[in-house]
Amino acid sequence: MTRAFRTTRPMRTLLETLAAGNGEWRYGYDLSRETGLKSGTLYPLLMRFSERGWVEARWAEAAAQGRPPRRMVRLSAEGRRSAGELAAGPARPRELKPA
Amino acid sequence: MSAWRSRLEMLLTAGSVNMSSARREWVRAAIAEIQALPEGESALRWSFGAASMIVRDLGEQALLPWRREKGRSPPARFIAAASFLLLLPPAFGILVAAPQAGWLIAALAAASLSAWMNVGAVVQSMPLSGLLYVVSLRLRPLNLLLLASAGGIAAMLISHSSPFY
Repeated sequence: MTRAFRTTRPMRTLLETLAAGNGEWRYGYDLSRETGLKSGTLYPLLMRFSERGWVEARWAEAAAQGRPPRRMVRLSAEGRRSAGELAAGPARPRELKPA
Repeated sequence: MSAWRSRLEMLLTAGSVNMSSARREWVRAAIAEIQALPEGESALRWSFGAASMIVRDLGEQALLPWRREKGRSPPARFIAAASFLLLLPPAFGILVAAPQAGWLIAALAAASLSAWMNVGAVVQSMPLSGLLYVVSLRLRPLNLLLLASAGGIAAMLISHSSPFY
């Protein structure tokens, strides 16, 4: 069973940024630049979002030979619903129910 | 492509091998971005994030062996390195410094933690039925050696703390 988890400012910022992407696939670095989140905060958040079905992820083809493929993410329908709930909700941190 | 970025990437990829598979995917995603960072962007700073995820996952596996992914080998080398570092202060205290009461408790805790981590690396349990488990021993010489060292150090610490000492 997935536990409810407390919403935090970084989580809210990331959800809002992903929601603003309108279903567009995004790279981790671009998200980090836009949200100001460091990789050590961004990726654990994406991992938690993925566990809850809030984001979809796929590996993009390598841009050049010898380079590893990059991972792209976008908000799922469930993630958009949660982002909408957060946007409509109070500004203080609160418990958000899992998908 | 910067050579040192490639080396950083290889180092982190090697560190992520023993991670639980779901988390490893995301760490690999962070590692893959290193080559894509524009010039002037600190790849080292970016790598700290990936490294912290690796250390956290391996640390959890070392300290909470029952939460490890089924069928996954324990991060034996990480456990060996971490438990060796944990044993250094107690060993130093026994061999060089004069042990004192507060220090003895901390040293005993460090030796016990080191032993616990290595027990998790060498003992494997598989559920048989209900509460019955089959326990087997993995032959990992380094972890067994560290387990014995932790036991020895703990025994010496206890003898130091004895009222007859």
